[in-house]
Amino acid sequence: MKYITTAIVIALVFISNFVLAQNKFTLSGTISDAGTGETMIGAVVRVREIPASGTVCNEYGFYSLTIPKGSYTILVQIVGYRAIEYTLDLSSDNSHDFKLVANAKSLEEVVITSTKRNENISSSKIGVEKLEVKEIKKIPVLFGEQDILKTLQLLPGVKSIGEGNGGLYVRGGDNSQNLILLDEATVYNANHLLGFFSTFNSDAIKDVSLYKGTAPASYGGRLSSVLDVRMNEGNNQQYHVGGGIGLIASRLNVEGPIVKDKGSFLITGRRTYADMFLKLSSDNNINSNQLYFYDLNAKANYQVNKKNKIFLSGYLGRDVLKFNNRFGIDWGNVTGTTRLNHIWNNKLFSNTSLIYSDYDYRVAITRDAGDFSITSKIKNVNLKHEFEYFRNNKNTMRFGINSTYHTITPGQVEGSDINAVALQNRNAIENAVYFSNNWKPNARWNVDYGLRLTTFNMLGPGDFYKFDYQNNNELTDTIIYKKGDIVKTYINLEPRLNIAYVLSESNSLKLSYTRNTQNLHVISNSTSSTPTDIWIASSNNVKPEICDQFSLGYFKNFKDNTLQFSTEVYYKQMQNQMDLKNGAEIRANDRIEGELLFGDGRAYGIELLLKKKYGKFNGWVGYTLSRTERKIDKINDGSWYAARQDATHDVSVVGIYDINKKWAVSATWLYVTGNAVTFPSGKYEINGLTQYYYTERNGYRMPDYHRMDIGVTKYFKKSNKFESSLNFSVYNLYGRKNAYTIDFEDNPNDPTKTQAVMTYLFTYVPSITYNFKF
Amino acid sequence: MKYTSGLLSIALLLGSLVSCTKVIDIDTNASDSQIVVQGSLPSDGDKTFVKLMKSVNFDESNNYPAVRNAVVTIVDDAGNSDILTEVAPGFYEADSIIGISGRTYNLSIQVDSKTITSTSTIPDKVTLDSIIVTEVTEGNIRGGAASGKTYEVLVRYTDPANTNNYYRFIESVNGIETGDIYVFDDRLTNGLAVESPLLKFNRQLKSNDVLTIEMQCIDKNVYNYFKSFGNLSGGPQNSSTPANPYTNLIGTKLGYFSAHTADRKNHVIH
Repeated sequence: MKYITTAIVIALVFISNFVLAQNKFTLSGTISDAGTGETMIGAVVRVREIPASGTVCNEYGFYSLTIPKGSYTILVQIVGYRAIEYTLDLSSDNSHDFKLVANAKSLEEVVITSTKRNENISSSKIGVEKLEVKEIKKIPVLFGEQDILKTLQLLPGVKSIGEGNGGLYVRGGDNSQNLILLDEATVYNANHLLGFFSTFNSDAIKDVSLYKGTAPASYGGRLSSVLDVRMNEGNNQQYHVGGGIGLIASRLNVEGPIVKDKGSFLITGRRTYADMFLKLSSDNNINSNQLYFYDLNAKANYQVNKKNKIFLSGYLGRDVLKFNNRFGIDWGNVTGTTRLNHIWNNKLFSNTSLIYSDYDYRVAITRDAGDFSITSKIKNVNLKHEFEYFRNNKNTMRFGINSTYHTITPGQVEGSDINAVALQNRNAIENAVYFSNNWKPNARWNVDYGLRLTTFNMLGPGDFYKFDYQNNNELTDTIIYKKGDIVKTYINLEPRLNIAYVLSESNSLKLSYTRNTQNLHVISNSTSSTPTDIWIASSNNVKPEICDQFSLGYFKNFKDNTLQFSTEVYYKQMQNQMDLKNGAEIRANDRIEGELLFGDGRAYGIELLLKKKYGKFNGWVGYTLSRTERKIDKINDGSWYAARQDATHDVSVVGIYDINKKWAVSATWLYVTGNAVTFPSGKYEINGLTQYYYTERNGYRMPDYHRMDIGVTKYFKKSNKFESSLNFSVYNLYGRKNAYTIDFEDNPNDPTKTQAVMTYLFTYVPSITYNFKF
Repeated sequence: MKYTSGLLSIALLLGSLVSCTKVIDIDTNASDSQIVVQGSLPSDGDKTFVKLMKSVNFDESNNYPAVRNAVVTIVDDAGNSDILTEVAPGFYEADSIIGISGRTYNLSIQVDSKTITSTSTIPDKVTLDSIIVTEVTEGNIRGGAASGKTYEVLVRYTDPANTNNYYRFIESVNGIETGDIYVFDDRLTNGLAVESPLLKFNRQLKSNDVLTIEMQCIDKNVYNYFKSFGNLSGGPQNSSTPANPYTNLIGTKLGYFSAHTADRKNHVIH
């Protein structure tokens, strides 16, 4: 059915192509880095003679530009590279590949006045953050481990909860409402070591985009944001080895051509060795513990011929924690992506991907009385077929289909002295058809509109339960479905619209609306992402989460586009949000849906960002004022209450200064209102012990969180063969005691009193990392 | 629950490598005072009692006002009834009603024009076969302190296969309840000979200490009460939403009424 639809769409595209093909010709090709052969993402191609024209190459470096017959100067530009000017007489369809040369140092940046640097003004994009990996590498972080998630938390509208938390809370969304993609594959748990590190080794990363507002129609399945991470492809010119040695982890990467100019590979690895230090201890209780994680990324690509390019990429990461051979837990993600880029003609580009990803964890307890283990897994196989059609210089279309088969193995519990329990697998198929068009009627307007239709089918076999949610979630019925039965179907239409109106060369106004839906939900009794988070799918009891977001933005550039200011306001309305009832049993419980409560959510706020993008000194100042609330029937008597990620104020300051070729310094400062939390208002006694009486959900605040980090990088003299640098950083420079947890207890000195005790983790953590490449 | 505690302990260990603590001031709100009910109706001949007190604000001292002159009545489904006598301020004892497995008991409390009611059923008795107390030599996460040795306690019983069973264990050292809450159901152990640890980190005992474990068979509502009992709050690794435990009382928010069996075993530390 879907294929027929696609075929019709393609046919229409070709027909319209004939109709429009009069005196216009198409210039198309690929844009790549001259030094490494890596294709560029988001390079801008413009025509000097036609100011309103222009296109941006796609995530595989492909561009296509259709303009009338004539003589033109084509300008190709992207930050950090020398712009190219290319003149041509266009009298027939033409193909040209551009190779851009990286600026040796950003301070020597060649400024070509005719190229535009106000892409942020004219594009229809709103609520999008792009990070450059070069930028991330200069920002100081905990233990010197460069981390894209931690860096993203420094942007307006994105926050974490408390110390060392790797969760992303985007515009009031929950951590589990982010679609995190690594080369298109879902990463279910992006954290290592309970959130102190992310799964993304920045050596392997090429490009990071975070969509806080309207994401392209090709993405779907999560409510709050899309984090699209693309891996490096590897150098197709020369072999290189690079790496870093840090305080707690080391990294190594190898890249090089498979066939020069045709294909390349990249393998990167990282492992922490904190547990090596534990081994030094003579105490048997300490040295028999294990505590480490590793990441392995690999990618290869090969240009089969002018029209076809294939890519293979994969990721494997695992955390291992073990105590005295008595208690162990390990968890990790696996992803694999196979892609085929095909250029049908100079206007039509397609990408077909077959993607696999999974996440699993295993808990093992060894006791004298017998062993005990729990295993759990979620996986999906995903087929994506997408076309990008550069119809003319006013319209660029994207359309495609997407089919995902989900399998959730909620948990198998085994033990020598218990009955083995295998919770039933849950299977579901999620299909989507989507279409979007970027329409630039003239230099003033830039409109992006699209539609995504998703269907979600919960499939048998299995026992499905019915609960009376009005009456204490009592089980009322059990229905048994056979293999192939459809338990429940949800169909959702997700429209999206972005409109940019350019007021002048240096300022614009943007408007956006989007609807997102989510059919996979995380159940957690903890605020942070723990390795044992439980995934459930939409079912007869659980309805898809739905979010409507409206946002409005004003963008202004100053000082020849070197200073970029933006402000965005957003309002989000969320349906079918869930929470756990008191005392919920979420482990090894096949009736977990009976432990849930449902309600609504809303979030609104204003974000301000002033960014200096070019020059020796760059960085940004961000501020967010926001409110995030939930309303759930049996919580706080059904009135609105602050969600735990609610933060009134969020300020971040990031500065990077490249002093000269040898030295660079950086500093960040972060201030966030303490997250909402439930504290007791009263107390009483049960069986001789003080107990606490809670009067309202999330009625209190953690203390405000703030800290400053600094970093210094020294670049050693570079030769043709070898380059290296030393990075020194201090986390929490002024030693702010940020609360990690707050607990209540009887005062040990005066048992008639109770007190609040705050635990804090890191004050002044210095670290040093040595990076090299040859 | 065993593994969840395990995970929590990992977080604590990770934290303890680098963490410090500090007492802070928190300006807590005033709370409406609640009547707190603790009702115990055992089947083994121990006293049946109901204790009534009031909750206080967090910043007050731990003196909980007794609720006096209440009319406390227990009626069972065999037609017996008993008006409890206030033998000490807020402490009401039964005279005649006795706990028998299979019977359902209705509690009614009248005080200050308020009525609080509850119902609890005594399940069939499951006996505590034995307790095993062993000194922990490895795997003691926080490390032994100088004051005593660290012990692990295992309880052994045989779960009947034909019913859903719920258990509560009460630990006392030298006759004083530790207040630790151990409740189990038979979801994973139905019909098995169970050997289960009463998981507690750093259980320190000295020579000649008498450790008593009382096993109670409780009904589902009482199990839900103790299971939902948690006073963690605050930070990222803890239970995100501390809340008042589920209660089987109607008319007040805090406390419980438990009719149960009881079986005890002692162990003297050498």
